[in-house]
Amino acid sequence: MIFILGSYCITQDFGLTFQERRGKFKPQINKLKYMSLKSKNFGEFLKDLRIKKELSLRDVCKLTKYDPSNWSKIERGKICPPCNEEILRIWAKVLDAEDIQAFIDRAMLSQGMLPRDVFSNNKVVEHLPAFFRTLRNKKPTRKEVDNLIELIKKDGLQED
Amino acid sequence: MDYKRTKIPFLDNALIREKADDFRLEYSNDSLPLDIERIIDVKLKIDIIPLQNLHDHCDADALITSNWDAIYVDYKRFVDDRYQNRLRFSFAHEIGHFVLHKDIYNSFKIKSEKDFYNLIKNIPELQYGYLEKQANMFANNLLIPRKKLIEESKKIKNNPDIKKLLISNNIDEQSLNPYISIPLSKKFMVSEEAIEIALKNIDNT
Repeated sequence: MIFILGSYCITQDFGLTFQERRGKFKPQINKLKYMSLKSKNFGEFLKDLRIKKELSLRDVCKLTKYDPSNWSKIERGKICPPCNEEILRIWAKVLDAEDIQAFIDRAMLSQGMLPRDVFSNNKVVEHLPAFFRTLRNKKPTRKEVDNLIELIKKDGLQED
Repeated sequence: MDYKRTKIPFLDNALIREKADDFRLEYSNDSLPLDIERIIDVKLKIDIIPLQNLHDHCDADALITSNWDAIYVDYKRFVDDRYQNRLRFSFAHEIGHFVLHKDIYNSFKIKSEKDFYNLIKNIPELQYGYLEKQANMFANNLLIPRKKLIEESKKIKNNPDIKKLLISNNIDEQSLNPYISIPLSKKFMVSEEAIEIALKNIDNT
């Protein structure tokens, strides 16, 4: 798996030394030992917490006042979580995270570590609708199918 | 594959109702309205993915993916509360495909985008319509449990004012359906049209 460094947060901090960056993010190393990069990514972790709390996407976005499209993209590893500690603190509280600081650290660590997930043809086929009926109750036109495949591909690509 | 010869198996309303009732029993309690979004998202763990321009570019508001892992929903409609009832029905409709049509989809053997284009182009409109009709019937039965509908409509019809209205105007109970569908639509969080279809359905059985 290839990891890329492309997030706004990481590039912003490239001018800082490692110690300065560590000081800024204040990750508690002892708590992070179990947060191996090989373990679940932040998106999956976030989704697990939400499901455990029995909150739907709509519920959690209402409670956190966050955009549902972006929340969904974070859960699916398409974009990084926000860098803002206050926002993350609210999320941790809403989701009843056991350790709020560990939650924030984990989000911070995940910055810029999205796997480059090339949306292969196979994946596009899997993400095609099983059945596609338009709201006018007809089969879609060729143009509408083209548009849909374009939307699916766009959604499948992570935002670098 | 020759999609022109596709024949969709007939499923009668009683069977679809039974499947909808079984589904509700497994994933929900008796409370109204049925929280279809939470069932999809939290219980079935099917991702709900808000997609920009799904409605504007594709004339669709919700579509379940062929790996059954996600439902795309039009972003604007998802965040606009005015479309909530409409979307609830669309979500239930997609679950109808999930419950009723997995085998049929597998039989289409879609392996590439080209296959998908071929399916859409060649499957007879009438046969494709049957799939949608069945998913609609499932959605209607899922969101409007008939037992509950009978209970709730009786409550309204037993109201003394309503009884007086029926007697003084010499009208039968069925003529009231378009009127009682208004409060019932709020109770079940579906459209008045969906309630009228359900009421007609119980009147005929």
